[in-house]
Amino acid sequence: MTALPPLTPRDRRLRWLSLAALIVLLPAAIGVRSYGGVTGWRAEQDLDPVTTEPGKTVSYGGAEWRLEGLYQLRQDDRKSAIILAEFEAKIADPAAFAAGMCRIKLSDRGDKRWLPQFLTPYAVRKARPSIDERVTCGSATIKPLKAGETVKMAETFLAPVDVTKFDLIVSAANVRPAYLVLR
Amino acid sequence: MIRKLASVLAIGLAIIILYGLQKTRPGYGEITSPITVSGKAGEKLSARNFELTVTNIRLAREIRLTTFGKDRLYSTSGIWAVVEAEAAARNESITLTSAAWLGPDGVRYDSSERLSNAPGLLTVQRLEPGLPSRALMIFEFPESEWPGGSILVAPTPFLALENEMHITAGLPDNAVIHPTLALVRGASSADWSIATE
Amino acid sequence: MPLCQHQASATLSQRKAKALWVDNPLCGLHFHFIRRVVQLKRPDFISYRKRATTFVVAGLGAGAAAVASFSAALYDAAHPDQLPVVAAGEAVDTGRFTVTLLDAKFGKESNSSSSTKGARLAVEMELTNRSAATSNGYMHLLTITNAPTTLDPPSFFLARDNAILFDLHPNMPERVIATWYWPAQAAPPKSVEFSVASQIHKRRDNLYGAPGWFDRPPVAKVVLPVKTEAAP
Repeated sequence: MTALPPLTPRDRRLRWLSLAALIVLLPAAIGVRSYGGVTGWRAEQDLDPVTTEPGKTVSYGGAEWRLEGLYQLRQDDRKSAIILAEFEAKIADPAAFAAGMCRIKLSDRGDKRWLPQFLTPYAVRKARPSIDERVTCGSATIKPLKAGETVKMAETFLAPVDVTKFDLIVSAANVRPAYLVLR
Repeated sequence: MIRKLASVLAIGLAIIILYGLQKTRPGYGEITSPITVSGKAGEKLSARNFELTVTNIRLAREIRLTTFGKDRLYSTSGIWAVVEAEAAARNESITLTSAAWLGPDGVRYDSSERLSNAPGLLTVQRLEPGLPSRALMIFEFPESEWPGGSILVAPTPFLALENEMHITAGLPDNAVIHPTLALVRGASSADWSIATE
Repeated sequence: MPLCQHQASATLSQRKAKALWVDNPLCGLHFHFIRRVVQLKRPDFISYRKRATTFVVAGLGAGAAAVASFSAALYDAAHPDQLPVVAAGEAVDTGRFTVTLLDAKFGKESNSSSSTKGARLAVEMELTNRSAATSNGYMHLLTITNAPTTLDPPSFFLARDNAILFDLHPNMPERVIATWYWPAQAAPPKSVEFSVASQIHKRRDNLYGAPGWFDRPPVAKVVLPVKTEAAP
């Protein structure tokens, strides 16, 4: 037959302290393990906008950005329209610009976002031949660039014909969650 | 004596509870399974990123596809199901790359890749917010799988906590299986007509 | 912590202390003190000889187990199971698919759906997906074991459409043609030997506990005579 010695007050205090430490340590362990995942998730989200005034340049992700113009080309079905966004970036830091791998979206100043079309539609190239000199932002980051060079870019989107007020959102991977709102 | 009995009972209860916990523990597949949005054909269903309404479901033994002036006949060892739907993106441009038919016994048939020239296929269409569009889903499965079947639509096939729409097809018991369905591509890829032959 | 008898006797009467006795091997350290105090009923430490024999016996047992499992592994490797030979036209159950090899043709003219001209070995088979979901896991089921050189993986065509096969749907048997491009310098084969691999389904795998299909050793051997087609 076994018998345990009676608990001394010191033992009782140790037991309560251990339980209390558990209440602190478990959330701390969860926090430490998930810290990397949470920061990684945050770096994918566009959370902090940097807004410009119309026509002004703003510095973001190693370049100075400016929205040159937004054009609408109505489609024959009278419900959709192609939106052409022309913008330029003056490179200050080519390495940072290339690492940014810019993600461009069109926003209606609300919660809707349109992703760019992969190919420039023929109707746009016919209506505005100068677009052939511009590149998409994705191809601009692949080319080797020099500091001080200005890259002229254009992206096309398909949006409803009744939305007329748009912002262009530029998001660079190394500066996220800050993102640029060009207007 | 009572103390011994009480301790034995407590141990037995703990064993039962732990055994129950072990047997009901969800596996990795269940933990990362998609969040289902359920509904019926004809209803407008809203998931987090997209909306879909199934407008028509037709069954056929063969499909005759006419595109760019060329005719092609597709046969199958089972039957074809041609599902027409209205789809729209909610907040951001999205492509719903996963469409499948779930048979009544849980067997899953992904949408057919054989009719690669078919117009308006949902799985290759980029949906833009504010621009709802018509879409087509084509499935082939054995004839025994159409009663009580459902359609599963999701943005990606490898789902982890994404929304998946589960749309009960609700076909009547006397649904007709047409001998041939003629799918004709119209002027653009969003334009088509279906006729029964 | 169980008490040694001398500790118990410090607080309780000697008779009660004896009643609370526990066989604690550490108590032997205090052997000298308690020997005079109480009458010992049994030895209170394990002799060194007994300890040594225990270690040796345990070590021998573990060694015997290791030797047995190692020699069993050696024996299995030295005497592999002979693959059962299956005739052409008989179905082979590979777990996820059922394969029935039908015939093999070798020819030099190009297939209407292939883009390269060259010698090719076309094997016609009937494939049925026996799992509960559409799958394209049939691609590595067949390996040619008597090929003159290493061959590129085959392309699979659906005989029904005469077009490339992507997925196979459950419970829908299909005639499929697998095409191996034969290198120009190799001699045309007279007969081909196939090794048919297998797969098993696990509801919970060993890494994540997720369901999946896993490769297992080959399950059958099939020999097909090759019909050589004359070039046009």
